[in-house]
Amino acid sequence: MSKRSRIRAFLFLSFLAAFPAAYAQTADANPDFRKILTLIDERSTFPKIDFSAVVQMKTTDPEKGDSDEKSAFFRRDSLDAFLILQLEPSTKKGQGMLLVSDNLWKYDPVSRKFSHSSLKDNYGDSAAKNSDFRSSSKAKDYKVAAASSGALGKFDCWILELEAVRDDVTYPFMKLWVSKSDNLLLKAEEYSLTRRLLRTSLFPSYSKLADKYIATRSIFQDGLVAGKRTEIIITDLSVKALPDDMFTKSYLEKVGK
Amino acid sequence: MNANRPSRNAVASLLLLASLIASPLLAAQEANSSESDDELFGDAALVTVPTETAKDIAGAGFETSKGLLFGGDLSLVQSVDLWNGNLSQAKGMRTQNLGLNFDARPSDSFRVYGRGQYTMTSAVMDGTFSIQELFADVSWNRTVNLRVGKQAANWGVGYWWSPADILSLSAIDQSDPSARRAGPVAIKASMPIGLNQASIYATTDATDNIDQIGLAGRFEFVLGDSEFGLGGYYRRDGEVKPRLVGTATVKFLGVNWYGEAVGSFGSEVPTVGFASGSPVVSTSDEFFFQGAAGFTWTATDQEKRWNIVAMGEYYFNGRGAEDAAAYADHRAQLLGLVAGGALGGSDLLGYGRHYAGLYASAEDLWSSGLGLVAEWRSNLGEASGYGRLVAAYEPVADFRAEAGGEIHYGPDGGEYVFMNGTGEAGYAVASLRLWTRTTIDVAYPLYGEGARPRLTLVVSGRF
Repeated sequence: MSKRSRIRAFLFLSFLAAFPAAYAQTADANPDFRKILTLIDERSTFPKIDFSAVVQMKTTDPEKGDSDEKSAFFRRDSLDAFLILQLEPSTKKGQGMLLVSDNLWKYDPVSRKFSHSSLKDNYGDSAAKNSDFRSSSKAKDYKVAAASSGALGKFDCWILELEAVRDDVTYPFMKLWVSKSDNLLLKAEEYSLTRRLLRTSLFPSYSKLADKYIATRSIFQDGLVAGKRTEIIITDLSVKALPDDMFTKSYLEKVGK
Repeated sequence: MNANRPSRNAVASLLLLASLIASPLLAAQEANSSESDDELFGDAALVTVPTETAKDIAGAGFETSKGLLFGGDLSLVQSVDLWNGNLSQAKGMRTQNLGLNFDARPSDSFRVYGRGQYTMTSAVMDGTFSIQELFADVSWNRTVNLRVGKQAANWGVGYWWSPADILSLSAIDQSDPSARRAGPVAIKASMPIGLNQASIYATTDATDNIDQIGLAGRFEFVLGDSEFGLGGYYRRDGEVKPRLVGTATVKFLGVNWYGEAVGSFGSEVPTVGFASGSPVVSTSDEFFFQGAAGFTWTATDQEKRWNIVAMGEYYFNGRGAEDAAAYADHRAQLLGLVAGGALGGSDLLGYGRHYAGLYASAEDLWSSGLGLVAEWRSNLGEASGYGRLVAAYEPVADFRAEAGGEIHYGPDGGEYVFMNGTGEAGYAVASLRLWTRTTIDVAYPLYGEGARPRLTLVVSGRF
């Protein structure tokens, strides 16, 4: 083979070798972002099984003081239901919250009364929202308005800018950092209608149960109150079936202090 | 001591208070550190697979407890008149009490709970002890739940007035509507049916004959995001008259609406007639209607520029006095009937036909710590009422200052005028929380009988 032929062959082989990489780069640059959102939702939703855990919530709030709470958490996504029952501190023990579909009840063991409230409310005085405890529905609630590549610590990420397609969502605009390697949601910035940053959420630790991913450490930083942040640690994860009576007002009253 | 000037001790107390106020303000300025993104996401091992998932909270005896758990609540209030040094219990909604409770849950189907309360009626802590709750819970196959003993039973949905709350032993305290209220000695059986719930009660207060047992039943059901309740009460001996009860909570136009209606076949509560010119106490066997309707509306700006709460309620009392002014005109004679035992003290409250209440608050406007609270309640028939307008400043968690005024208005002897035991009308209050459970108030009523500055120490909390 002549030198020119060898050069041609090398260039051809180089092109062939480069093509999959180029193809992969093209595919990598244009994944179906809606599928990524759907995957995030599906991985954190339990349509056929129950989910329970212990939730430790530490809030640092320079305005209203710090708090450290522990709750029992039970979720049944087939009913769109969850139950949160406070275990600590003793001053709040027995307080509980039950969501079933669009009905959200809070139980006060002192007055022994139930009251309705909005899913959009903050959870207590924390930076977490009641909706943070519900199953994720980002693919249904938002459209991807823009996407780019970036990095978060050691992770290469897709940075997705979302716009709400429904009026009843907690945040009209969101910006998500999703790891490219395994499509895990690592960070979210949540914005108001005027595009003011309301909250930054960080999810630096996950546990895998069956084919589901649970953020076992979440940090919510308030964008409006400097220094206010809530850290949630989830332990004692389980996907064992829960009793049917657990998602009733009667149960909340029974286990309340 | 000169009665017209604050004592030296009082001045010293104020200076001490001012120095204490400064400390949380300084503490709040401390920097808050948090981890950076690089620190949080510096480890490539993001996902772990838990090795032990059998340790689920539901299966680990979460509903049971080992032995007895004790708890309680305490409210101590001591007030000093800064003008003359006299000690007293603060008047108004702040009462002194010590509550102690125990809770035993040997299994997930059996529980015993009790709570007693010592209520102090004087500055030297004289008082009375009462059992607020003492019951056992038994659950059958997680389907039927029995509660046997003295228990709270809140049927109503009203905030200031709740005629549907027919089992509680006292009416709502309008100055503290969320306070706990004692209920009857009863056997309650409840059964959840999906999100709905059926309950039946057999109330046994002061019973030595089966005819004295009151029977009550209630069915609560959910339709969409609304909840309804239907119930009734019957007692064979007729000492407590039969009633039919309906309640509803409905979300509509972004507002939570509630309503309750009661039809009573007579009344065991004495009413007073004035046809002969002097008060005559009687009860009635005629059917009458009571109803309350109201709303709660909350609006929070996402950017925390404002947070508004508004509430309103109207109450119609079909057994109320037809001559709206008669109770006020005959107040002295009515007090004589109370002293003689023909009427209870509570019979001189809620005797009107038409009542209304409004509440509105806006807190932490534009993150300034400034807020406004307005409140009004009235016996509309006799035109007596209570109003309060307060501006508040709460720059940090442990300090709150209020300035404003309140008024009890109406005819002499009117319901809301009579409620005002202190004669205080306008006031300024600065509150400092020393720890989460201790508060010091410096209050300066502006005019009225008790218009002298006072310093109040409040220790309250649950444990």
